[in-house]
Amino acid sequence: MPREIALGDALVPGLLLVFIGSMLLLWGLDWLAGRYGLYRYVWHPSLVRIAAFICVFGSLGLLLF
Amino acid sequence: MSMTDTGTPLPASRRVVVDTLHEEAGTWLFVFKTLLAFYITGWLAMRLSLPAPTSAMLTTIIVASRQTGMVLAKSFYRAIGTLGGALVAVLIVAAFPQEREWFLVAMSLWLGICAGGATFFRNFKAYAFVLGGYTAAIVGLPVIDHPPAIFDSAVARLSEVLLGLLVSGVVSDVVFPSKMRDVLRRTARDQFAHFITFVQGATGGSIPREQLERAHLRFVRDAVALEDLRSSVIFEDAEARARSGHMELYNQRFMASSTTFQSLHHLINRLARAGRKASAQALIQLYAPIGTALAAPIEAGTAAKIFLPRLVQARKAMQANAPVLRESMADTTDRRDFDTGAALQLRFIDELYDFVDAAAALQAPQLTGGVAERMRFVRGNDVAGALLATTRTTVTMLLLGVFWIESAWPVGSGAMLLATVFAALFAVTPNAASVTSSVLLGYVLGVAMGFACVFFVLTRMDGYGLLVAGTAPFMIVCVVMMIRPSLASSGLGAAIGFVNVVGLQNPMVFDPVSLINNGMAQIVGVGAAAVAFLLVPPAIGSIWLRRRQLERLRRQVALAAEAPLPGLRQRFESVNHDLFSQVVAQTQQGSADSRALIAWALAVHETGRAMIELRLAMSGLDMTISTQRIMDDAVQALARFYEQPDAKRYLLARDAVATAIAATSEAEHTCVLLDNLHLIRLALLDGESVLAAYMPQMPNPEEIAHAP
Amino acid sequence: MKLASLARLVVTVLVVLLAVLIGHALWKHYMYSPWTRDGRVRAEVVRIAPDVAGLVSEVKVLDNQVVKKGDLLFVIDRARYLNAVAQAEANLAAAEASARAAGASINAASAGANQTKVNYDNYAAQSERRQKLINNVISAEDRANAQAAANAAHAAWQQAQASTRQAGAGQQQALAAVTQAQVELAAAQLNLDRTEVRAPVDGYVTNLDIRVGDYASTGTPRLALIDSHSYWIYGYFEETKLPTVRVGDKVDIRLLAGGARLTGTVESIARGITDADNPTGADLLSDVNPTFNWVRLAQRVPVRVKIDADHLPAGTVLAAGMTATLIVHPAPAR
Repeated sequence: MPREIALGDALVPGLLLVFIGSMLLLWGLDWLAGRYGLYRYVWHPSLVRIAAFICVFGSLGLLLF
Repeated sequence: MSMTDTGTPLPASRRVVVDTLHEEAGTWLFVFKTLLAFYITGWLAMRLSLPAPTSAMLTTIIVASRQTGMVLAKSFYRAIGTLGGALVAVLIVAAFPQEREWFLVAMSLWLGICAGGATFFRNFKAYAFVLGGYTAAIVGLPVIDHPPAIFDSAVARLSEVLLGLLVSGVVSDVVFPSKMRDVLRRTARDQFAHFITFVQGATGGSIPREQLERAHLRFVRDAVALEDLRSSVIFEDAEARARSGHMELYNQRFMASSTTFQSLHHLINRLARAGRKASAQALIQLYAPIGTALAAPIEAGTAAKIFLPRLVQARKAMQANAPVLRESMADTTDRRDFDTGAALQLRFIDELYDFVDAAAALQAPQLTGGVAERMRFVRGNDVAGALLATTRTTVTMLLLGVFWIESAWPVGSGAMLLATVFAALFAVTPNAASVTSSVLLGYVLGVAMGFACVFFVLTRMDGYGLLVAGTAPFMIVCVVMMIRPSLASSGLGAAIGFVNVVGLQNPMVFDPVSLINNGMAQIVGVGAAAVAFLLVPPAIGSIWLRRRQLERLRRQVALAAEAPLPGLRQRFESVNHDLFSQVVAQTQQGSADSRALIAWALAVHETGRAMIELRLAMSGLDMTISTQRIMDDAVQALARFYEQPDAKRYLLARDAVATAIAATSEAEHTCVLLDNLHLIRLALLDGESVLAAYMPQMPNPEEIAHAP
Repeated sequence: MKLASLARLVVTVLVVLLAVLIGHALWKHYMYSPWTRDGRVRAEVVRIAPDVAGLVSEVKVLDNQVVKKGDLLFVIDRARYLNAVAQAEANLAAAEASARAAGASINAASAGANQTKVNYDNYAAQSERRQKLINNVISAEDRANAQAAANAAHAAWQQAQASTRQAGAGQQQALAAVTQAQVELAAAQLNLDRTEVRAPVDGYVTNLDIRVGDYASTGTPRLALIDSHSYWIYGYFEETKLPTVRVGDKVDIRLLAGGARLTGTVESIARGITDADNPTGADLLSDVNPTFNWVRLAQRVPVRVKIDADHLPAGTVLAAGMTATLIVHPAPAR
């Protein structure tokens, strides 16, 4: 994964794309969790959501760079 | 997660204290969260060395709200608007580099279009338009003299705003979130309980018209409030998002059954007033099983499910009772009236069943299956009002631009920027002039505080911790003002003014002359926006717009008469509710205006709905061409009458409906249309309704009696 | 219920802890591991200026052309320098002729000296004979005359000897003039040679700013020649990342252009950058910024990275000024 990507002549850090990707991924996870009521099994849903996002983003970032 | 209050009841005096404390805690929690987001954003913006930490910090102030869902919804649309605005700014600058005049024309046009869009949509989507407008200005105006910087300017603005939104969103979602999901759930439950109780209470007999009007108002408000809540709650809660479709279905069914319910009661009222006691009484009797079916206590935690079997039973009982009651009447006219009412009642109980079913599905802990059909709450948006807003904003901006160019004011772009921002922010507020004036006052206060803070406090500060300590007291004042409803707009002005004037930078630049210059320019800009609103008031809330909306409401009948049938019922119901709630929100309660309006809304609602049902029934029938034409004529005559009501068209409509009734009663298989036609006719002849003004001079009470 | 809520709390805390760990790791990785997006390809550039002035008569290269060391780049009009050589050659010939003339005059002088010597010997013998005669045979006057004649002959011999020496010196002068003329010829020849401007290194012609007919003046650069063996990369590393960078560490280089991957080694680390906060004001006094950052930001320090030229991927085009991303792989601690 290149650390810097040219999108239409604008330099974009690769991590930004990972960030957007993780957002999309999390959105999917969030939809699943909402659909099947998984947030009932946690104490603070939004905290868990943020934490899950950091996990996804962090792992992807560490894996790809 | 039950909503029941498990605490023991408190003594009244203690309750007051507890409530006050609770409210205070809410205020200070808001202050804490806002400032937390504000300073985290500032730190991150400086750490990432963004060019203007101030605008990132300002973003957190602008989206600050008590409710997490509001923050997220605002942020979502703000992000979209900012992206669009930045893009447009790049395009405009690319199209007119170093052509200040054309640039300003294009920019004013874009701002106007955005103001128009905001007026058109009114809800959160409006926010995207507002932002799209002024982001373009913020990105484009500063680089007017050196166009190559546009790209950097756009990227910087984007990063700052997105950073602010991200931090605001995370802070408000994670730190003691105040969820609207509970409010939504409570609203839905209240709506359900209120409706069921109302229906159950109404089975005892007839309801006076006054009460029906009030009930209609309440139903409409409930439906619109639920839709408003839903559209912001889906941002904060995945579960709510997953149930969003069910929620929409629930709301649609609510609207449908409440309309039928009202039609039914208007019918009973009319019969009773016309002295047709027999049929009215029979209908009330027929109605009784619904009352018993709904006579279960509705408390929190009681599932709506329990009503389902009872409603099935009630329907059976009604079907069994109907022939008996019909036989008891000798007069054919009575029978005709009874048939109409009975059909309406059966439709009502079916819709009620669907409504309760939707409520039960919503209350179920696990969602079962998706929503078969997508229900949309269609808003009644007004094109003309949007065009007016477009014109007003464009002209204001052009005038300001001309003033700037002619006066060659060095800080003129700052003034123009602020004018743009506030003109856009308040373009959709009903009393924009007074709001902007109080913002102006707040802004002056904010600038003064900013001056004091920069030159007496910040000069002694070193490092981010002390920066926070130095600015927080001022910010707290602003934010506390923001949350007090009476001071909200002044508080917003003060906060924006303070942050703008302090202009935190890394490293800080202390320059009294430019600070005062900029402060003055910004105050002039806000003042210009206020003056613009004073001179060219926004369309929202004006008599002109209200009249237009009323016209639009009446034209709904034409929609019911002409629009393609699939999905029409939902479209009709939701646009009706939305328009009605808009006009209600903008009229004084109890005024002549308001009463006339409610009366029209009821008439439109009842007739329109009956026409849709009539058209639905017609679509399945094969009729002779002449009958078909007569039916079409009747529908058309009604539509024309509602479009432009006058006595002549009233007579035409009345006669056309009478002809249609005569034509349909001839053939056996077209008799199913009679119920709805009859209902429409009765509504037309109702002397108490708003249509009375168009009736021939001597309203003949026998008219109803002699109706075939 | 108690257990359920405890379980919910535990799940939440676990997820949050995991997030904190991963987030921290990513932050550390991204903020402190030695890598930078801010790398620039640099190269040594020779600014080619003509050594002699004159009209440009020929340009032998095109812009961006590859040249080998010694290749002809452009030519200054040779006519004037040819003339100069010819003139120098003529001067040399003249000097040589004078030298030869000087040699001849030495011979003449020495012949004259011999003649006067013979003369002198004659007179000296004559005088001696006369002195030996008994007094009356010859008058004292004659004796004195003979003596004087001998003395005069001696002086003439001496004079002739001096002339010989003078002629010798004249010859040396003429020889020196010859050498001078030779050197002038060499210089003229050098100038002539220098009308042909040649590449001092292997490399690429860049920014060729010279056309036939231009007047090229001495010492004004007319094109840049990029030394093709001299490419290196300056990576501007934040100071927070510097402690992990050591001279000799392997570096992964990714060019922005096509993402080509190169390798390299850390060659050296710059030992100074300007203090942006402290420019010199009037009267040589420093002009210190009176305010300090609210949030401190890291400065960037250049690190010189040598490109491993042997392992350039085929087809890689390096150009000075290109952007590169550098990732340093710190050598294990020794």
